Amino acid sequence: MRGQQLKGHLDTMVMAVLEQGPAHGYAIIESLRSLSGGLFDLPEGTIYPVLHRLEDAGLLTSSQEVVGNRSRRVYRLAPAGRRSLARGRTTWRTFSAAVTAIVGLNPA
Amino acid sequence: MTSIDRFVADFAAHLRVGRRRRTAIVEEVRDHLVDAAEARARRFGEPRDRAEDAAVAAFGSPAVIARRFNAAAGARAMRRAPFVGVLAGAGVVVGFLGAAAPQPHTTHQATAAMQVTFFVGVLAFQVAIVAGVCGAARAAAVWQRSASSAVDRAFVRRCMTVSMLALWIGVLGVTTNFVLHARRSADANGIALAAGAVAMICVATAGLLALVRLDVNPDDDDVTTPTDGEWSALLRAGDSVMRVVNRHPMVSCAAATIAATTWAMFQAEAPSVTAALPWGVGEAVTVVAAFVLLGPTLGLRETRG
Repeated sequence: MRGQQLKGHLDTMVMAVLEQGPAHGYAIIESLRSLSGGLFDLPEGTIYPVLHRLEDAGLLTSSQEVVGNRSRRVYRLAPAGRRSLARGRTTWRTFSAAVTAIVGLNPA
Repeated sequence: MTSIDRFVADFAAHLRVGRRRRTAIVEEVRDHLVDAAEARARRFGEPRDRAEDAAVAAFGSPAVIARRFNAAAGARAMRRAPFVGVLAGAGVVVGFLGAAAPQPHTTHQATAAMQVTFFVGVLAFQVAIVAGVCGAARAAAVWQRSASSAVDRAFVRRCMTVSMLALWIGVLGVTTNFVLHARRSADANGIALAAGAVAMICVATAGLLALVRLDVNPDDDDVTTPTDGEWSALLRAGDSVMRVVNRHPMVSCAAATIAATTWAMFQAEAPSVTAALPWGVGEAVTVVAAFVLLGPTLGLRETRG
């Protein structure tokens, strides 16, 4: 799926992945890829500006930690991020239900 | 030099963020590429150099990724702008306290040079305040957003530049005026004004330096939808007011007149609407008219796309 089609949803998806537990950038990309069954095959670098933006907005926190004998920046969902994710889920459910109701119409 | 080294060097050349953040981002990108190359080598049994090439190709364009980081740097600079505005306002207040306090030496005649420097200083302070309020209102409106548009950044940058330069001119004007009143230089007012002038010069310089981060390429907009914070609606109030003033200058003039007149009445020993009204009208009309007339020239008023 092209990046443009994911526009506006990537923030929520990243937060949903981090809701499962702390992760570093590469692990988040891998999760997005595997959870979408390989459909969300974004340029991998796309994830980092998103992570930094969400951290600047107070929705994520990060710390330098040792993962597999290497120092990595690990991201966590902040309390504000949980609230933002809840709002994002509600918005998405409303939006997807409306699109499905229209696009799913059978020909008369 | 490996393909990862070349990619990281190219990526770093496109980054326009602070030094510490640059180091952290570049390290994080390098770590990602190393992880990705190792994972590919393990998963597909590829030779190391081919796995690195594939990891670099999967990462995306270094210029595009760097531009998204640059857009985030612009958003952070936007978040600092209101604080610069508040500091500038505090500096102006301190300066005015010095200039407006009761003067013990009023016997000598003010020369033309004294009058001109005082007028230029006060006018520049008013421009600094109006421009600062415009910029701070917009910066506050997008303060909790995780990204800011190039239009917003350019507007705030323009407003803050005008505000900071006007602050410099104001400090120069009022300080020169004070120096011309040589006999006052050693009294309490002089000390207050000197402290205010130093504060204002520091703030104006810091403000101009902070604006460097807002000087980002208009193409540096982030492609993802910016995330709003919880207080965004409240923080947009100031910007909404500025837009109302922009669209309805006459109504704004009337509202400002009422506010200024009320304030003048509370300042007077014997409150009287008749006495306060002319002053209130004069102040309100001057400020709003300056905003409406000078706004387009100084870039303080713009049509939002």
